[in-house]
Amino acid sequence: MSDAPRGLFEAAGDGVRLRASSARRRVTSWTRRLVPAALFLRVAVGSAYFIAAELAVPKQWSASAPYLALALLIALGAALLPAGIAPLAASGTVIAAWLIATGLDGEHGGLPTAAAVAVLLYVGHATAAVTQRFRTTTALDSEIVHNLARHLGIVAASTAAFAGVLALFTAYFAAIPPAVAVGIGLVSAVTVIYVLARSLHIPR
Amino acid sequence: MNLTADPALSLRTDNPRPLRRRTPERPVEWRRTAALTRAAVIAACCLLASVAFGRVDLVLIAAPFVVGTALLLRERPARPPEARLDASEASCAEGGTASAVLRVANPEPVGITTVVTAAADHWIDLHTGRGDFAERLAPATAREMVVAGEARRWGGHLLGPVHVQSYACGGLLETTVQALPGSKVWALPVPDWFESSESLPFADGVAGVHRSRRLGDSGELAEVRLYQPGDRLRRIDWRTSARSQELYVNATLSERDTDVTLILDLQVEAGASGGIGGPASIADLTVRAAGAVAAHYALQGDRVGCIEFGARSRRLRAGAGRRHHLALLRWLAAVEIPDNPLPASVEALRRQLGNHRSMHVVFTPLLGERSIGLVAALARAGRPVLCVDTMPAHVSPPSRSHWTPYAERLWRLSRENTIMELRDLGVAVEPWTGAASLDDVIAQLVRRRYR
Repeated sequence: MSDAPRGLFEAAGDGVRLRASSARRRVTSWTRRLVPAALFLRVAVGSAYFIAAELAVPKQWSASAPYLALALLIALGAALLPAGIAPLAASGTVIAAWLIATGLDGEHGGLPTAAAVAVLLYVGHATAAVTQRFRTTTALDSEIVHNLARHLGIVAASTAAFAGVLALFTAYFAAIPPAVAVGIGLVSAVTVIYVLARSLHIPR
Repeated sequence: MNLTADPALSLRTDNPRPLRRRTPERPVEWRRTAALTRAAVIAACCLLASVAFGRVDLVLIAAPFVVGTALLLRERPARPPEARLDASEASCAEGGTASAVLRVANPEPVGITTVVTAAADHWIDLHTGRGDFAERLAPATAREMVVAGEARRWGGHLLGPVHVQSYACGGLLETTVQALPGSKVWALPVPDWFESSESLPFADGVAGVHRSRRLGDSGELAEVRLYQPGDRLRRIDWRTSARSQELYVNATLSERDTDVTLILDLQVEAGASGGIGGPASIADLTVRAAGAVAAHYALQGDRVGCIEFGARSRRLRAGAGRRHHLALLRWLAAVEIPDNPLPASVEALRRQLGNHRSMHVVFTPLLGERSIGLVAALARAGRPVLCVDTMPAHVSPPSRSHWTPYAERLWRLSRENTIMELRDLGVAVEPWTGAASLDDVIAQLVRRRYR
């Protein structure tokens, strides 16, 4: 840059031109290095959370503009920032929407829908966990995606099986004795705490 | 005088910040990720809410998180992977591929994924997928990964540092980032093409391709003289002998090699370098032109040496042949022009010049008094000097005011005058234009020598 005296507008124009050309170079470089697999994973994260948010509420709600905007926002947040708090916020929003919708609308819900929402939430979570250290320019080994797909398949199948078992035992939600629900919840909570405690203690 | 009382010792240094002790690098170890926390929080909250509200559907929502997390954490790594970076090729050609090999070993019976992010000098354009990539490592295996990029300009470029991070259990566990220090990769200059059919003056070596003033076996006729005992019979000139009734023989000039000393003026850099395919700066033009001339003469058997006229004043001994040519390219790749160099000394350079009868080729942009003084001093000392103008045509001073074009014109006129004065001194000045660009001036030098 020359040190010649310049007018305010000329200097501002030079600055804008420099920034524009720098941004153009950066975008060109990013586009050239973009990798489809890393993008695909982010699209998978966003799509999973978006579809889960749409499934969690009745059709009238899901078609409304404010809810669509909210669903898009959480999906975009999770896709763009998979390493941050965005996936947790997205999961929390979907679960809250599910609770409110099923609380207000007695006809909405049911085990198949809950299972679908659960699987979609897990797909978003697991894909975000894999994607969290990848950038959009990171070239991926295809085996990473294969492993993820295999794991998601196993979890989806086991969730479907679990939903089937639950459906067998609880043909009618109202018929469940509170003691059974409390028992299942306690056993599950203890199991989770045990597994997590074991997993966090890594032997040296 | 007491040293502690010396006021010079109590002056503040240029950088008054206190010296910070370098923090030791953290060892690489496994740690949990935010994803594991997220899975635990979602599962725990759903289960607690299901208990609190008596909702079975929340148990179902928590189920995949519990099952998936338990499946992923079934096998966990204990020891972190070991990574090492080796520069596979210490040098490559300008425009070629500079690469380093990263070796990652996974000692655990659990598959892991390694994410590699490499940085590089701005003259190395990392290939897509070779500077930022993720690879899957099977249990108890090691893998070699290549970090590579295109070296767009000659010189020593830093490839690295390379950051390696691994994760396992579907991203629930990850290692801390391991930063591997980079390695220097030398990109050798790709010289312009130079071909000269002219002989050089002062060819007085042992054997070569240049016409010498000494008699010997060759095809170049020197004279026809009377036969002397010891002359070969096949050199008898029968036609002249028959005409004169006395034996005459053809004497020929020998062909010998010579010394070529390349002097690189590296005092000033101007013009933005665009790399191998872009515009050339003064340093680019100097290095590529010197490489071309050196390649031509070194490969045809002449002894070629190089001397820097700049802050570093490096010198490469004279030599010939293919190995010397490669050494010369490596020497040229290490050329640097510092921003604030110490002024170069003409006298110091003249002391480094050895053979008075070697051919001196000075690559200079003729931008300073010292450069012009050097060329003039060599010419006045009677050394054969060929001056190659390495000022790129596109380089011009930055526009500062409306007087700039007029000032530039005056400066160019003054430079042309200087060049004419050098020519009057007997220095052949020629801009570098590639193949055969120096033939005319070399022919002038030879004519002057044999006149």
